[in-house]
Amino acid sequence: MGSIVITAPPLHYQASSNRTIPTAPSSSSASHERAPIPMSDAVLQGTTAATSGTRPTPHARHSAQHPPKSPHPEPQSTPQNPTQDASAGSGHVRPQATASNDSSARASPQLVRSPADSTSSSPPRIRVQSLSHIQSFALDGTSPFSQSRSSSRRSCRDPSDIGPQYEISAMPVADIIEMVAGLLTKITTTNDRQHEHLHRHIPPPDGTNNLDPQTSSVLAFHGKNIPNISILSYLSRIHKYCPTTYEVFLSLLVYFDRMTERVNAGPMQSLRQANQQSVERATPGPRDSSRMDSVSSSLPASQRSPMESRRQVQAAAPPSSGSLGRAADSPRQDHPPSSPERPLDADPYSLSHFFVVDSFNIHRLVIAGVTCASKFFSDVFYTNSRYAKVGGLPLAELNQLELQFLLLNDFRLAVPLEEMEAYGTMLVEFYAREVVAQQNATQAHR
Amino acid sequence: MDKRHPSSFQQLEKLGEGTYATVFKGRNRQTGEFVALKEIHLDSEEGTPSTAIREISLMKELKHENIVSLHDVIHTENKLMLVFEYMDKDLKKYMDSQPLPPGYDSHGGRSRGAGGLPPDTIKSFMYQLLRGIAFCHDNRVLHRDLKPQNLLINTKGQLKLADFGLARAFGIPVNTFSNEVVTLWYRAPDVLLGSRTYNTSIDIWSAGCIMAEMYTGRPLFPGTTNEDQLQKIFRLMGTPSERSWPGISSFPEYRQGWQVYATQDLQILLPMIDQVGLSLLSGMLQLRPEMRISAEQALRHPWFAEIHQRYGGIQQQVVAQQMGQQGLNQQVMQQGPGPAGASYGTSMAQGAY
Repeated sequence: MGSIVITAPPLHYQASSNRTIPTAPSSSSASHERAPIPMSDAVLQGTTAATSGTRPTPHARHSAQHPPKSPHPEPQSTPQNPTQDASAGSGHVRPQATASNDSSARASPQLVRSPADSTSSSPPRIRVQSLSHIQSFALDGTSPFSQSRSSSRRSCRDPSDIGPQYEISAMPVADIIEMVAGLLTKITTTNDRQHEHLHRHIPPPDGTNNLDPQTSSVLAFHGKNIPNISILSYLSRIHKYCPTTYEVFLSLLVYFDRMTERVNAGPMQSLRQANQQSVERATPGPRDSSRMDSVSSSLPASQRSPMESRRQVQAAAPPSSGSLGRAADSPRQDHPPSSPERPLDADPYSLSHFFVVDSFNIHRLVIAGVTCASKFFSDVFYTNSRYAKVGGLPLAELNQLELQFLLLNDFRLAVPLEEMEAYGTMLVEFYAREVVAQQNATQAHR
Repeated sequence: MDKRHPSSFQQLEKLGEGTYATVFKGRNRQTGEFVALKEIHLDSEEGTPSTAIREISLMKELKHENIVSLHDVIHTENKLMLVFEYMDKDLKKYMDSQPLPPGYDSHGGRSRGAGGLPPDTIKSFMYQLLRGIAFCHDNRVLHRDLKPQNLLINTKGQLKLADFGLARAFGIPVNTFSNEVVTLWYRAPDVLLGSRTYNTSIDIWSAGCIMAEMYTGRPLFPGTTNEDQLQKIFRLMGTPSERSWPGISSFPEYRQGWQVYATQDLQILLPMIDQVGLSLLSGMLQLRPEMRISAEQALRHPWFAEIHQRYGGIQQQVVAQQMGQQGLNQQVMQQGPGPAGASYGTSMAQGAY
């Protein structure tokens, strides 16, 4: 778990920003769309699956297609939305609905609000203010996060016991980015480890002609090298030069899950059949697989969104017991995954059909995802040449990735409100568990 | 993924050209079925246009008989091709093609242009328009560009919403909404005043403008600029003040020196409208967004009672309970102009062709 750093927010944020984001003109004013974007040196290098193009010239300026009208184009006001208000329930505290200034709301978030701030009827909704707010309730002795988490909260939970819902729309976008980055870092780190043992076979570029379109779509995201900018720095950089709303970052998790399911449903199907016998014989069963198939696998089943359970492909996916919570709890030894994986080794080619979010593809997935999601969610977005520059990849490659991203998502970028909320809750739970895990680690150290 | 190829469609005549797309009539080579092919050029600077991303994403979720159906998305090297169900014309062209009934033009006193539509047709179209809108709103989608050009009509007398390029999902608080939405003539006063927190009511305003236009054959508020648009609205609806619209002075585009107009009677402008219809129309054309009737409420308006009755009462319950879901509702509607003459669409269908 060495590479998963989730420390006190300000430290982590600054540490990594200093390291990887080059000096840039202050973007505190409304002028960020005009500010030159510094090249992050060699952020993303070539992919295995071809793509080429010239790198953009370092100091060319690209202005936003629709320049933000205010210094902070993100949260400005709350749309007067009767449906939303009605569903929010009586105890749900609304933000100040003044359209005047968001800066006051952002600058001084109320640090502590009792988790009891919710309706008495289930499920309680907690309006999260900031990361420190999460820390405060995660470390509260009565919180579910601080109890012996191995049993109570996840698998063996009473289905009728619905945990609180965490509403994150009032959090600063930077805080949400930090949680998203923490989760993605954990997922990629875990999945990277699998590569070493599975000898994931990536066909050479010339071989891609024979692949089905979906596989080459997946391979388009796979880089030759791991970019040396952290996920957090990368997301922060994007938010700095292409500021947008929090849904854009949260929805990345939804899209990654959907893509993974869509792509893996096929090979998984045939693999299952091939696996069936060995699974029956092997004692630990497929639950030993610790690959993280799903971002949302840290969600208890009862909290999975209705959307998810509706999808057929879900049924085809293996139990993703290697959930985030578990990976955090059990000090895993770095032993190779056991016997049930054997058929994979037997047919390395089939493995390339799998889509796994890892350190080789995460940056490209993120920049393509942000590009698509911004255009979908926000009335404020930028040209692809700007996204390419900020993402550190050639425009032609980004254009290609954008299209592949859309194809892998079947062009369905709409996320039902309930699903979005479920991911928000999952993210807060993840972060709270990390906070607690870290505290426990610190205490053990003393 | 895409199994289809552009060549599965025979490209016929051009139907229209938009800002980011060209629409052709097409024929499915296998089935012979007509389709509308919307070709979207992929620009290298911009990548995939946001209009395309929104239109595809949203229309894939919005399956309803009053919303044009997206059959397929085909992508090639430098373009996307959206395959839609074929519709015969848009409401604008439909109105323009209306023959003036003998002696009809003496009412409106219009100098040129097409006349209004027959009252039955207007009622049918309004009902279908509001059903489409209600379905969108029920699914948390704002259309944001309702106008006669974006409402398509087929030979069965069905009306469907099209062009979701400006549409967006709503429902999650904290968002910046652009106020550069909706074609000027159909843009709600709160949006004209610079609101960025508008909601479903902006589509209702557009629907009200469209309803009036169907009666007269001319746009209700054909403004030339933002200012002029507001003035045209105030001239008819009366100039709002802090007293009639608390909070209006905090809108970005609020001006002290607006000319003060008294509220006019819509009846004078629309002599052909009946009283019940007038009450619905004025519910939709409320200056204050929070006073505007919702699509669901509008569908339950007494003006539509006869449409409900034709469905033997079933429709009423369905509308009340299931609006926006494809259940019984759709079955009923899909029977179309049946032998029993059950459809509200029949009366106008012959008029069209």
